[in-house]
Amino acid sequence: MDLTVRMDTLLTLGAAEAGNAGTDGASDFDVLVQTYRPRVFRFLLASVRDRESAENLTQDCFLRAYRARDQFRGESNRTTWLMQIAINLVRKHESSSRLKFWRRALRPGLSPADLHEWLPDHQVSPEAAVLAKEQVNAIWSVVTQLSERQRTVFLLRFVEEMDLLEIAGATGMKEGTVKTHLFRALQSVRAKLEVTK
Amino acid sequence: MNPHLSALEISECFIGEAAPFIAEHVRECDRCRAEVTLLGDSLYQFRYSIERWSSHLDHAEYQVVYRTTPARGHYGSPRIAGLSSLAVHGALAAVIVVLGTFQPVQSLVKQRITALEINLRPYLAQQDKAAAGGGGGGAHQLLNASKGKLPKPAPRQFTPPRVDPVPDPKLPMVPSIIAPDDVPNIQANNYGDPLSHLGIPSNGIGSSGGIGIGVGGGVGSDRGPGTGVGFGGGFSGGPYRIGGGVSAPSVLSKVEPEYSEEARKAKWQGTVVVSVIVDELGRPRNVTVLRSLGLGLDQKAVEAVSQWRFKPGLKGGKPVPVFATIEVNFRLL
Repeated sequence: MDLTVRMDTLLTLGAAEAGNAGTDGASDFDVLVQTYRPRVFRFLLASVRDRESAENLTQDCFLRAYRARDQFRGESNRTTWLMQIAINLVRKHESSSRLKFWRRALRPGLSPADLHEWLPDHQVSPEAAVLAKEQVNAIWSVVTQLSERQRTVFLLRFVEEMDLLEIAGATGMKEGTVKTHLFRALQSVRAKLEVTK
Repeated sequence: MNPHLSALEISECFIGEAAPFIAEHVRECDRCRAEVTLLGDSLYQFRYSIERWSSHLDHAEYQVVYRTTPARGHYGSPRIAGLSSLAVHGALAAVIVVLGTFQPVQSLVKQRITALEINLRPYLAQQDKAAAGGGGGGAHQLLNASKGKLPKPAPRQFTPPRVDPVPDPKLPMVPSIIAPDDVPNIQANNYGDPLSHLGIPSNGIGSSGGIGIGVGGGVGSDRGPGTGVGFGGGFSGGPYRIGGGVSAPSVLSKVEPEYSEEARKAKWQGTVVVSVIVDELGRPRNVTVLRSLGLGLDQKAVEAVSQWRFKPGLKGGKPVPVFATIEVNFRLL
């Protein structure tokens, strides 16, 4: 099936990334950064929808990881560990209500209608292109309206392709809770897609 | 078998492991497959867009930072940092301005600046006092200027000095000459030329106010509002006395004095002593009679001496005005 094939490719890609940074030890932190930086940045960008903040938070995330690299016990995998730090940073960022007003006033972030510009160009037909555009915009507008937890879980699952256990480890939620949040987020997306259709 | 999949079951396909019956149903039921495909496609497109967006914005310049020691702390947003920097600098500037308005601070600064002032006097070009200024005046009177004190030196002259002050001036003004403060002066009750001799008060034979034989509002034998020999304002330094490093002028050309008729008739002979200032150019100035002989011989002596030419006296290799006393002998053969 088309869908599963796509999912599989992406999953194997993720596995290859993880395999590159296989060696343990703090000496090759460089390799870790090179391997995981795009993922962390992508997640943070989608979470805060602002390039500067995302860059700052990515920097911060790896700085914290570097300082705490000795305490990394190796129980969870590196993705979970880094995402845990990133999620905490996002929470802190969201809750700094003092800056909220200014952030809103100074940079409006990426509006939901802009994400479709990054769609691949190799659509089979103009119709498909329009459809894809509408789909992406619908999901994006839903994601921006989701609560912080639901959005985090949604992004981790459908952008970062993490499985439920990893998400549970990274967010500190139980697996069932993660499932519930995912389900609600998916329901919102589906409702929006129905409207668009 | 229920006709279609529930929302939860469709979600199961994406959330976790879907049960085998769900996969089977999706494969068979067109409607459910359409829903799952739509959702899956949308999610795929969404993910792809996010990835492209992110990799477009991402920069790979960060590894350098990690390779070296990590930066200390989190510096927050650059905009906030800029604003706070502006605030701090503004506050500092305000503090400096406010401090500057306090009197003690101002005086302290002034003191400090005075202490820093460099004394340039040793490096300035030496001014030759002897060559500076001079002046003269007079009121077309018959007699030479009488002896007296110099008026007060001032940077600007409003009234030239007079030997006989105006009795009741409508606009009283202290007479002055344009000269430095350290002009040598004498003690006297009235104004006059300190280099002249005592006599009947006179403003001198010069012109344009002042005292002396010169022109202009000053005192002395030359032009200008100053005093002494020379032009313009200031003070010619006064003639030097011979000796003490000042060489005596020597006569270059002489004119023999004539005998006056009266003296010849009276067979009158003797010596007239004339005081003269030999200026830098060797010309006699301010020729005055020190010891008179009378019968017109004094005037003859002054006439003659005034036409003499001298080699000026030197001080330090430079010609300076020098006082000289000349004895003019009148002998009848």
